[in-house]
Amino acid sequence: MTNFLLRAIGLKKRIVFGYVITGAMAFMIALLSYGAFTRLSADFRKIVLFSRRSADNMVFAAQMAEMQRQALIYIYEGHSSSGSQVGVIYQKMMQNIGGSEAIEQLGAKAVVTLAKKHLEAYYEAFQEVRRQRQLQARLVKSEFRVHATRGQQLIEELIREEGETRLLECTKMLNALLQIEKNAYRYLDSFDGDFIKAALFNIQETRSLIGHFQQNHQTIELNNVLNSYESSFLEAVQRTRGYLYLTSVVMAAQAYETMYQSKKLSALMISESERIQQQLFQHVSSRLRLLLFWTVFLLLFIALFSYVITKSITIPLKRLTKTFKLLASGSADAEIPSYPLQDELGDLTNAAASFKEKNIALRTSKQELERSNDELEQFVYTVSHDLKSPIVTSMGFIGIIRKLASQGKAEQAMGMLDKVVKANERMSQLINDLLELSRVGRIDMDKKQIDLNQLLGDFAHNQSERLKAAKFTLTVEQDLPVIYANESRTLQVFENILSNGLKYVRNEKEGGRLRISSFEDKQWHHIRCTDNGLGIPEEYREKIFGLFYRLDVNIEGTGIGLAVAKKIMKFHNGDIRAEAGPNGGAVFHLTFPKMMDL
Amino acid sequence: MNRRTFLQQSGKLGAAALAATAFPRLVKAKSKPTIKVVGTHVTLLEPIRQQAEHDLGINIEFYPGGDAEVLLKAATDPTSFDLYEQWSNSIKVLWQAKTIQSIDTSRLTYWHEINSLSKTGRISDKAKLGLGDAPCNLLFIQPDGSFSCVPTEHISFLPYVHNVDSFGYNASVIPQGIPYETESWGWLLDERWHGKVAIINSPEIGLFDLALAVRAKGLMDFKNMGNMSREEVDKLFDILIAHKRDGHFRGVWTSVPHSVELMASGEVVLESMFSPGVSALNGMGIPCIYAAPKEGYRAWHGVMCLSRACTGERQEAAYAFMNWWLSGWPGAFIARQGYYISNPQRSRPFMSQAEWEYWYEGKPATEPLQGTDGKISVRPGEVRTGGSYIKRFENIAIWNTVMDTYEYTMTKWNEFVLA
Repeated sequence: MTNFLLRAIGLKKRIVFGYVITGAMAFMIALLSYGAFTRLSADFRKIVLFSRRSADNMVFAAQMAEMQRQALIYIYEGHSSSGSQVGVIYQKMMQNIGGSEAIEQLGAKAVVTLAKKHLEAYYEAFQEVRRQRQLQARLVKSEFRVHATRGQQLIEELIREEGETRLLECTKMLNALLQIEKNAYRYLDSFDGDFIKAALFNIQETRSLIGHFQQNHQTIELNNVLNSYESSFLEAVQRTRGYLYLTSVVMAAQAYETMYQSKKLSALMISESERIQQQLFQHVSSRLRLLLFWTVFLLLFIALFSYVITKSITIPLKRLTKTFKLLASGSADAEIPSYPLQDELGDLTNAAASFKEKNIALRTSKQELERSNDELEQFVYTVSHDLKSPIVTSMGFIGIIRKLASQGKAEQAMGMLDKVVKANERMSQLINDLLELSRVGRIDMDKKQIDLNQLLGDFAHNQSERLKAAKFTLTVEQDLPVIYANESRTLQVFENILSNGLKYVRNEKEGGRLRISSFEDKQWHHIRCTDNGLGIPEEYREKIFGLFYRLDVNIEGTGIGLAVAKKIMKFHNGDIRAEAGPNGGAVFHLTFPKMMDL
Repeated sequence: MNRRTFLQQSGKLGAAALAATAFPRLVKAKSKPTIKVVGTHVTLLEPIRQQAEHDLGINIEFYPGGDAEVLLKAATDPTSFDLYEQWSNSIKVLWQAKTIQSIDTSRLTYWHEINSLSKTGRISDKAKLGLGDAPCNLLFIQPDGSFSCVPTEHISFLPYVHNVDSFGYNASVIPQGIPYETESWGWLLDERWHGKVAIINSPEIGLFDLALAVRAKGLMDFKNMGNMSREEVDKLFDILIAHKRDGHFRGVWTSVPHSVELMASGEVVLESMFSPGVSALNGMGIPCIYAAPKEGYRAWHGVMCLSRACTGERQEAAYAFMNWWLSGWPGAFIARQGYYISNPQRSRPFMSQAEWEYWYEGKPATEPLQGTDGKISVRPGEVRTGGSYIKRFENIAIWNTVMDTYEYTMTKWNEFVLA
């Protein structure tokens, strides 16, 4: 993760990304909390609703009982207020039962429908009871009285007309008539069927007693009154039975079924309420657990993410700090941490790299300076030593000449002067060569593309006389490369190598030979100058490039040529080294950088 | 339409039921004579009305209604009907209310064919008479206006449709019993079926189911179950209310569909039943068995009464309609609903051999038998529970009866239902 961030996302973006992710996590926690509490809130509302509905249903049962009580008061006592109260309670119950979304969700719609159906049937039956009760009341309270009173009046008229002679019979008739009403009321009070029989018996008895009298308008009307009385009584009996049936059978059954369905509904609601409560507790528990889990998870994620972000910033900073400390102490070997992005840390890394390059350059310069100092010391030592030698020689010969001159041996002294001249010429040669060496890298060092085929072809041609004189063979192979170099200095290198070969190669059998060939690799052009001499012992292969060093002091030379060649090759960012040849000779191996590396 | 709807509307009895307004008319009269027939859905069926109109050339208006509804109407307004069709237990009420008149047997064409069950109360010599108001006890009008089995030329009702009832039980829950041997009214109070028993909501019917159960369980006996004293009623209801409060009864049912719903829903496994309810449950795949109790059936007898206000041309038409009912076709028609007619032989030519053997002789059906709706109601091999017509009516425990304590039983019934 850290590596990914280091490779893919810049510092600013990383910091912004960190804030955004942290904010998003906080938002997610808030969202989870909101979701959890919204669900809990819905569950809570549901349970409150169910509780309310359950309470309503509890009230429903009480209302049903109260409605039945009021109905019975009305039925048995005839209180109209109780009858009206039944209607009021009915309306309340119809409003309260079911009809809610909760009921439908509960799947108790059928139960509510049944309860309503039975309640409606109950109330309809009660309405009919009221009607029957009113009809019965009309019969009992009005018609009974009218018939009984009229019958009594007619019997009393009969008594007045018949006189004392039939008073007993009339009194019996009157008593029988009065018994009708009495038994009728007894029936209505007790609902005992025996009183119906008794009342009908009284009617029949009265009718029978009337039959004992001569038919006149009074007895005829009395019979008519009795018939009406009987009819009213029988209708009252049927009305009474009717509302008794409605009350005791129909309404009772509907009330029971209503209560039963209500209890069923209550049981369902209580069960559902308990289920919801249980669900609520489970939800609370699970939601809190979930919330806690996600909060912890997200906090851990934030912590981890912050750690990663921090690491993605501090790791390169620490590396850079360490690097800069090393660089500040002058180290050129300090490792520049890898950092591929071009952001602020990338800039620091680049700065460190630059710092390192400077250090490397400084170290190189220092080494170069030290080497130069060494070389200079060596040079001074060598120059002073080698230049001192002709001077010493000259001074020796000058002393001899002076001595010969004092002895007057002018001719001999003159002879000695040649020695002095030679010593001075040698010193002059040394000084010229040194001058040449010092010029390398300073004067006439413009570079250009040089076709070695052309250069060395011309060189071979120009040297042909010299080579012929020395019986030396120079072979320049074809397909030599084109190099980027200073032409005169390059030619000087090959001249020095050839001069060196002419001096040192001794091959009586084949004659001296030098072959110039080339090959290349990815970075370098390799030029090999192979001779067929005796070769160079390994311990001298480095020393021969030193100043004034000669393998054989008996061979003429200043010992500066190869040092010049070395310096020229260094100047070209190349090199020259001595190697063993394939057949015992020596190889001067030159390397020129390919042009792309210049 | 069949007896299934016997109490179908009793739940709404109060409202339209006892209204003073006219009953809804099924057919508007086109010409005279027109007779109004008030009764229950058991017999007031449109095919019967159409067939009667076709055969008799008169207009007939049917006014079917709930039990109590039609009874109160008939008991308080004789002008509201010409003929009244209900159960024999309504006769006492109507006669006492003086809203019906006697029927002259000499004007009944098939009077001599009416079997002994209706005339004597016994289908055979060895048959039990049955407690309560056997139809013969209400049939003949004596000179003093009372009823008795002593034949006279005047009768209170035309005997026609009748049947026996018992209880049904769900054989998937209750082990199947042996008819007349182990099946007993006592099962209604069996503790094993606690909370899953229902009773018909009718004091003059359900009360006897419960009384038979109480006696079968040995909890009490009656001097005369068909006419209980107040003390007996009190004692009976003490037992019943105790059971009710103990939760033994699921409740009462108020219509045949209600009884079917109760058993179909599983709330009830044993209950008072009518034959159509049993058929409906079996049609729903519920193995409801209509018991043949060893104590005997509770029997009922349909009655056709002549309104006191029915005279002249309408009376002639009413007699014609009564005679038509016993002429054969109607008896065959209602036989396909499981009901019997008082002169069965007259109906036999209108039935196939297989129908006769199944419905009347209690033999296995030899072919699929259609009901009145044209659908197959009996499959080959099925046997009617309780056996033949004779065997069933030889085992009558009690007849549906309006006792002298009718009003009192209603108040006690109220207590029982609400307990």
